Amino acid sequence: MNWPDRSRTARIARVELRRTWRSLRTSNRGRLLLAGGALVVALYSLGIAGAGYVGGGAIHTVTPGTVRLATTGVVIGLLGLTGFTVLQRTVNQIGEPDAADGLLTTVRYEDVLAGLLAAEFGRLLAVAALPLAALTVGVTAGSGLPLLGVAVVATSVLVLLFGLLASYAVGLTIKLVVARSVFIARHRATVGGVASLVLVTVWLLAWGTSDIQVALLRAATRSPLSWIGELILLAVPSVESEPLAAGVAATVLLGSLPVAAVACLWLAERVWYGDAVQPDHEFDAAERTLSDRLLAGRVATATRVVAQKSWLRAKRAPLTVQFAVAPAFLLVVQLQTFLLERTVPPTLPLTAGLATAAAAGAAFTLNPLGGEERVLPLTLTADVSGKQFITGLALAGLLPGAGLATLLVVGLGLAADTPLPVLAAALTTTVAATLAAPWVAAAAGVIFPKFEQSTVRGTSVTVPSGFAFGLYLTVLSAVAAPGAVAVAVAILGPSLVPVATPWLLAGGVTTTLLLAATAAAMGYLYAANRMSSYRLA
Amino acid sequence: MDKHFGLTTASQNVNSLTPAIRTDGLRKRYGDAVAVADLDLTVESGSVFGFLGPNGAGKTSTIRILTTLTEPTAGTARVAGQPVSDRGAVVEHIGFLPEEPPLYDELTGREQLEYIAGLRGHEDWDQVESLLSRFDLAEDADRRVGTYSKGMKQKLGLVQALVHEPEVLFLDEPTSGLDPRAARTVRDTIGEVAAADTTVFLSTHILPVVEELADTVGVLYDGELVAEGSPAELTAGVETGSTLEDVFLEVTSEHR
Repeated sequence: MNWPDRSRTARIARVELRRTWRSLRTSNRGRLLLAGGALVVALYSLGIAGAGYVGGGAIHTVTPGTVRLATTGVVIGLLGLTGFTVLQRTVNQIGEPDAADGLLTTVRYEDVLAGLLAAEFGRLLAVAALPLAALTVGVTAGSGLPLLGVAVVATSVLVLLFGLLASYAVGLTIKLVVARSVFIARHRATVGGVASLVLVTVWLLAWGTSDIQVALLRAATRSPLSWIGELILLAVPSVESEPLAAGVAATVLLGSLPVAAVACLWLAERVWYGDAVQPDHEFDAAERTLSDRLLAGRVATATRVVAQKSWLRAKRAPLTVQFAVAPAFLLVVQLQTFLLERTVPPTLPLTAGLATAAAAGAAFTLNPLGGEERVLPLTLTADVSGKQFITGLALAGLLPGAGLATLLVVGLGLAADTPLPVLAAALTTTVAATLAAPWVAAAAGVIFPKFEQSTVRGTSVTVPSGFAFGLYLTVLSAVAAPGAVAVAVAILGPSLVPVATPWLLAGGVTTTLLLAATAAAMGYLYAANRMSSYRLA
Repeated sequence: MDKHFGLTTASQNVNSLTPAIRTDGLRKRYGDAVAVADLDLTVESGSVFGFLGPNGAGKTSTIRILTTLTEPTAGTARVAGQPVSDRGAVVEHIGFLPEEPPLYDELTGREQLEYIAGLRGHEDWDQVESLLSRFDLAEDADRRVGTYSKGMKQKLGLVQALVHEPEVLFLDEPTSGLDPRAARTVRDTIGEVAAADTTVFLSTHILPVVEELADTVGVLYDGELVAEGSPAELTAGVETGSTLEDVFLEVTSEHR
């Protein structure tokens, strides 16, 4: 292991940053991200400057405990944000160099690693520079202590650097475990699902109430993490700081940088040059006959094998169905209530059912053309009609979706003591939405097909277009709205509308049924026709 | 040596008695599968070694070990006199064009070459320009690589592997996806760099290319070297015909 060469590190970092800038500047999505990001950062910076000014002014009057709490909060916030951002980017994107075969046979891997880290630090600074400057100016102006501004900047940069190196090392550790674990290679979809569920649960619990956040912050002020804040407090004469804690924090922070750098080097060598375990995709009789058992004799063979192919791809490459996860965000608030209060919110059965319906459509049918990737020419010239193909994709989402939606609505409805008529209406609305969703998604997918590949977690995949997803959700929401609104009103405030609840439910559900049937038929015919008549560019 | 290329004698600082590539008992396993089985190989400096074998024979694994991109399970290998365990030392002496050229879509062709040449500390921009001209890339040098055709990317990848005048050049399917004119340019270039004493380790399925260029040919089958010799020696030992294709078919069917 050698220390990186400074000149090569700088050259690699420059080119990485240039590539990032160009890829952002030359795509609509990138330009939108830049403009939106700049606006958000500018607005936040204004808020941060204001808060810094007020906080700086109050620093001489409030108790030292409050100052410590606020300082620790800022440090933890910065560390957490940096850590989360870098961690997910390391796992998904920057944990391995692009065009690795070329770069790693050109220079030492130590230079490559240092270049990638320097580039990421540059990106972090590009985002954090304005908010940090705003904080510094605000705090300095508010407190009248120029030294405090200097302490804020120095500590923040140190925290950013530590967060970058530590999170990169953790990200590489995750990549190493994933690459070397036979179990994960065989069960990546299940492991990914469970890990996501655990993360979401922890997140919901941690940020569910301000009580928990304050409790976490108070715990942090009693931990060595608060010592980093002492570095800033050294610059405030009116607060009695703890020089020993500040000294330890500075030493540990500075000392941890080379340690984390060495850890990154050690891990990078193993991740970049090590052999990933080969997932064992041997013939699985149960797996291969699933479609036989469910669909054989009921649909055309072509339709059955399209459904089977979709399930196999989802199991072995879960990234291809990542849009199916997005509707779960509809449940965040209600799940928080469920986890914190241990009661099932009355509207959760309906929301969970509709989220499942949305997921059923988003999983397999949102990009019928682009999702075929390099196989598309074969698919288009195979003896499979557009109707058979679209039906196969739709069944792949519809069969598990309808079953799961029914289970969720009935199970949660019973747990929430939902009145039977309301539960029946929620179930009918959900099932109607689930039955319509794949066909609506297929139509949206052929209107906005996406063929370009994206890199997700280091893997190139073709994910559906965001426009297709937006159109799909809009239409599906319109389809489900009459029934869903009727159910919600029946649960939350039947007196809000001058109609008896049974009539309200019957009207809403009937409208949804009609809309679902219409949308499904139109979506099916449009998508099948587009698929049949599609010609390669 | 054709000065237009700017390529000079590459192996002048390599002891001519030292083989450019030498492997002893080289083995690579992926789980239970053996990709390379106790491979003993010697490639003389300045020669063109044609590395043949059916798909899955272990050619790419061997190249990845020799270019330091993966570690052998057992055995040793030296490239340009350096052990492959010393990655930093080996990469200074090699150029590598994998099957998929390692290029950045966001850079222009010229920027890509200047980047790699700069990393190598070989900032001879005149040579970069002459190589771009030689491969008919000069007019497109300021276009983004992402807009290049497969053939143009392949040529740019080859120029990138050559730009620092390596002592040992590893080429994995260099003519893949090229039109006949570009393929001819690549073949000529391989011949010329070999004439400049660069050792070329050439893996390809296009047997006439190997027949035309290689001093020595090795045929890998199931990770084992099942035949080795000059094209003339190999074809002379075959009863059924006289082309390298016949040799290839015979030795790979003998070991089924």
